[in-house]
Amino acid sequence: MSVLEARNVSYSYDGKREILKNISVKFETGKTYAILGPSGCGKTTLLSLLGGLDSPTDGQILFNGEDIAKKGLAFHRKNNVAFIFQNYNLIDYMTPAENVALTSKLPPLPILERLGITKEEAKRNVLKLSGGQQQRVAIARALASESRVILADEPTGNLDEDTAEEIAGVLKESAGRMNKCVIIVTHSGELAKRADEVFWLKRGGIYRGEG
Amino acid sequence: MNFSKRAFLYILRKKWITLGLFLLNFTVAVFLVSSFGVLNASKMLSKDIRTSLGAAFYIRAKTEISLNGSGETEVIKSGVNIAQSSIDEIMKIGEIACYNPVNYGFAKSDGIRFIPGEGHSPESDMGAVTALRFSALAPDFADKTIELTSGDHITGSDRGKILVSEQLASLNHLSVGDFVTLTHAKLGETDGEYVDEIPVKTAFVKVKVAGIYRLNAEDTAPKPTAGLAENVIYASIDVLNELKESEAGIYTGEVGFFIADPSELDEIIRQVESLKSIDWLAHFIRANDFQYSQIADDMIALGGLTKTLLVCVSAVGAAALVLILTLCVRGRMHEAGILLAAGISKREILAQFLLEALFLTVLALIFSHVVSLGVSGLLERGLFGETPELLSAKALNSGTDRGGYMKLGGEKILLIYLCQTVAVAASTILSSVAIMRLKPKEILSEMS
Repeated sequence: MSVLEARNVSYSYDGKREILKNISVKFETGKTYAILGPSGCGKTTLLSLLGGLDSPTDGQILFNGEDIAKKGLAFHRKNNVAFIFQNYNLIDYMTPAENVALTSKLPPLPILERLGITKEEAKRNVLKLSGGQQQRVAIARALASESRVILADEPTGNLDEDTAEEIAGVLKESAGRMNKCVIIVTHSGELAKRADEVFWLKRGGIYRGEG
Repeated sequence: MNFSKRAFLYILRKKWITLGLFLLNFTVAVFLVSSFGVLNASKMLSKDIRTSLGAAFYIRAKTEISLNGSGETEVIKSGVNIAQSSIDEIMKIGEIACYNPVNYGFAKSDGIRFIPGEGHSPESDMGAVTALRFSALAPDFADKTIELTSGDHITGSDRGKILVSEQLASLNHLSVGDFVTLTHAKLGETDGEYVDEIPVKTAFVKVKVAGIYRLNAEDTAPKPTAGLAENVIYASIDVLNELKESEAGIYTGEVGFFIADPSELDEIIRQVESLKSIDWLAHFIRANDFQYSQIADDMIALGGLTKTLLVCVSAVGAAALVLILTLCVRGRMHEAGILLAAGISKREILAQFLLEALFLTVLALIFSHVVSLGVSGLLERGLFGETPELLSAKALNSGTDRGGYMKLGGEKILLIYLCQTVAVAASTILSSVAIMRLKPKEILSEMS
């Protein structure tokens, strides 16, 4: 059974330019999905709708078969999904450990260590870490939350090739081990190769591709 | 992680912003308290000056000058006749510090020889008596024509007390504390001779010399003994009653009323003139606020200037505080977006921002309160430390409390602090609301 589903979803800005046209797509736990497409095709918009950052103009987003609008988008964001952004989006006055503790009641150090952040690094100011380390903290924050779905928007977009490769591996491996559903929006073909399933977004429609 | 912990971490880690907001709140609070202190001081000082200058009005007998049948001018003066009940009515109007009724008469004494005047004889060996409640308020004392050199002035509660001139005291070897017995007398004229119209003495009063005064002005005009300034006896109001020359509760000389605040003089007079218990055909009111009139315009201008300055300081301070707080909150859109994406509710984010702002405000207010006390003290010494010693009608009775001009009451300080706290809370909420009204996606779009 799908954990997250977009059913007949359409989205337009100001009711004029329709970005997404009657899209239907399902996502399951334990799998990694990549959504590819040219710039401006609506990848990030779809991710925002799946994550409850915005509401579709038409159609529904279902979590475990229930419309997320019923319990409220804030509830969906808090309990069902976690985000990883291209620019990490960490709270700059918190340490890595505190950033992870922001959305989780679990002790942050074990998961940070599992992702390669040492105890010392976990207590430093988060901005003193490298880009790769900051993205590891962002991944740790997403994994530590009780959310079953992780939504990642260009998670390796700001990283060099080697680090991007490393981060992609960490994300897939950890999410798989924790039986989470990972949905990655990316331009990167390399990252898409690691996904279990790939979707293409073109001219407002979504098409299944090869993993 | 709850909002209070996030607020605590923000305050702890964002040291420069925290310090800046603390200092801003602190400075605005010190400015506001000091400015209101200056306003308070200017009001108090202005009142003190007005009180010190005082003002008075006198109910006096009307005088008419007319020509008689033989073509000579004739002065017709109706006698003053004011009852205590009328005075009691007047005293209920406005803030009248005291009243000073005056009765005039004459007195003789076996223990006193008066300074001889024109046509002096044993019969005319008498002095004029001015009986009143407050000798210090007698016009001659007030304008320093005469001056008390030893002893004390006669005040409202005194009974059986007199003040005599240095010349009279010297001639009769009188000192402060001595007792003499006075009897009634009335100066008359028979066949060109000054006579006592009360030859048989039936009224006597034992009085104590309470003070001795000096005459600062010399009058060489020929006058009978009873007309010489040196022979004038200032007595407590009961003395002439005891000598049966006046009736208790009825005043036949003028009655003076002294008010603390000259700015109220016109209104008080207006109300007094509407009293029906006084025969206004025979009496009139003379106001005396000359000194106040001279400086009133300057005082009003100064008061206006102080208020304008205060409004400017408050407005600039409040505007700076609101503007900087708004900028600070707007600058946290990125953080708000992250928190929203993490599922933290808008209400919790607002609570965090509000808690931080209020914590820093309260902390700043506590520190500013201590500093404001010092600043107020310095300003008071600098601005008001050299205020000359002032004398007021009120001071005659109770003295004037001076100093502490800049000290604001607890309620006023609390009100200032409350206003500042409300301004901080309101600007934090308003600027937060502007962010919170955006959808999380819009915030995140603005972030990237």
